[in-house]
Amino acid sequence: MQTIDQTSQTSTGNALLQTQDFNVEALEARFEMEAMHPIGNQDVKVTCSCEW
Amino acid sequence: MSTIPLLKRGITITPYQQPGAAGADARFLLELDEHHYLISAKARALVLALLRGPTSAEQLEAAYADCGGRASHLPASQLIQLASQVLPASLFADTPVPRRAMPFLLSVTLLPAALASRITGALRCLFQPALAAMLLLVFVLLHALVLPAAMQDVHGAWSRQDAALLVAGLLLSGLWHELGHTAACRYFNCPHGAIGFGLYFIFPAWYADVSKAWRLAPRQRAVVDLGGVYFQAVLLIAVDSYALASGSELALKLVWLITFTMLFTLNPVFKFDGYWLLSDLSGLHNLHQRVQDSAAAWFAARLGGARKPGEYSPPGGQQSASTARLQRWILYPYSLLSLGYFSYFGLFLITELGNLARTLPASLASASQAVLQAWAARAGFGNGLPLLDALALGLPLTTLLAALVWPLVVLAAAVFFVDRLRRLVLHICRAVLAARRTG
Repeated sequence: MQTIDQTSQTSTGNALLQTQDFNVEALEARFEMEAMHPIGNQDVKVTCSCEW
Repeated sequence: MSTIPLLKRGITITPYQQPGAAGADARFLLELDEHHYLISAKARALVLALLRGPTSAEQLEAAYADCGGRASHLPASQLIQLASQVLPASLFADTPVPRRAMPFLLSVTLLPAALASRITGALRCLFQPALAAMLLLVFVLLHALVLPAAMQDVHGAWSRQDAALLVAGLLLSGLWHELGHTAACRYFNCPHGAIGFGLYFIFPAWYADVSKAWRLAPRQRAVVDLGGVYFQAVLLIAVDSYALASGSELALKLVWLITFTMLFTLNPVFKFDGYWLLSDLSGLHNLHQRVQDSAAAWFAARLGGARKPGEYSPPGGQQSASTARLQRWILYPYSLLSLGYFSYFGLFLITELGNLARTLPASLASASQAVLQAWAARAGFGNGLPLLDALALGLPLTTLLAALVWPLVVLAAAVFFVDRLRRLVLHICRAVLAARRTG
């Protein structure tokens, strides 16, 4: 992300203000997700009804 | 005067709709390949001026004024300095485009953008408001009838066959969910990317790349965010109907599982649908980064003598006072929730690593023993039937590999977690040191 280094702009308040006026913010890539909650014996009881 | 920088070709800038920002506070969306930036009106004027390729200071100043930077006349030397300070390095012609950051430990594309787009072209009609309202009403009525039985049935025994079928059903519902997000993009005539499967923290997850949704209005983005859950609701109309008509225990379990994942995905702490929904409705971007910033500001205020966290203003822009106040009311509880969740996740990983350290050696030894025994015995069952030989060796080998999956996932998540923690601590230390220097 492009961050504005405010500490380097403190020589004059005006310089800081100008830098903020030219604000740029990087946006995240948008990945919409659907998580598959792991199914295990902690969540549900699994029994074997067939001979394997 | 320094040289006037050249920008890359292919940069596009469009107005960005954001709650509470208008006029001088208007923001613009700058796109370059797969990268998106939110820029102020003055940064836009600067980029547009540089894109004209001025070759002298006079040309740059004139181009800047012509592109909307009239409000405050700035000399070319200052414009060039500002460009180097505020514009992302990747915009300049002599800098390579950075690799896109993926939120996954591992990921694989299953439906490339072109193929997914063909499918969503046929599905986008499901977002027509009248049809969507009717489908949601049917879903609510049916689900209210079926869910109580599903919640009881899920506690019953699961056969292995049932578990396999339910996992398959859940996987298909995940794919359908992603098609919901991408179909919503298509409905708003916004391009979308591929659909795939990845490992996010410890969660195996379907994903859809809808980065171009940044072009949409906040409410349209919220529809994209909820598109997946909406599609699953449509799917549940069919599953609920079948469960109601047949009384099938398998269908009831599937109803419960799909409902559970629909609710789970609305969790805003991880980057699931709830995260983007909160971000789009509140107008706050990069929420995880903001959590780090507010934690750093909190520590800087206490250890470095910086301004109080309540006076912290997010770098996203200069919204109206009421919007900024509302965003703070959202941001601080969200930060507390996220840091709490992050701590819980760390404790979970420590506990799980401890458990694995105790149990893994024995289970691996037993699984390896079985493989070795099968290998040693292969001479004995070398009866001219290679398929049987392979099966006899394959089963213990599969057991051994399966025993390794969860430990590897936990280990990868622990490395990921430690890296995030390291970044957070560094961020806080830098903020405290900076506060001490300036204080």
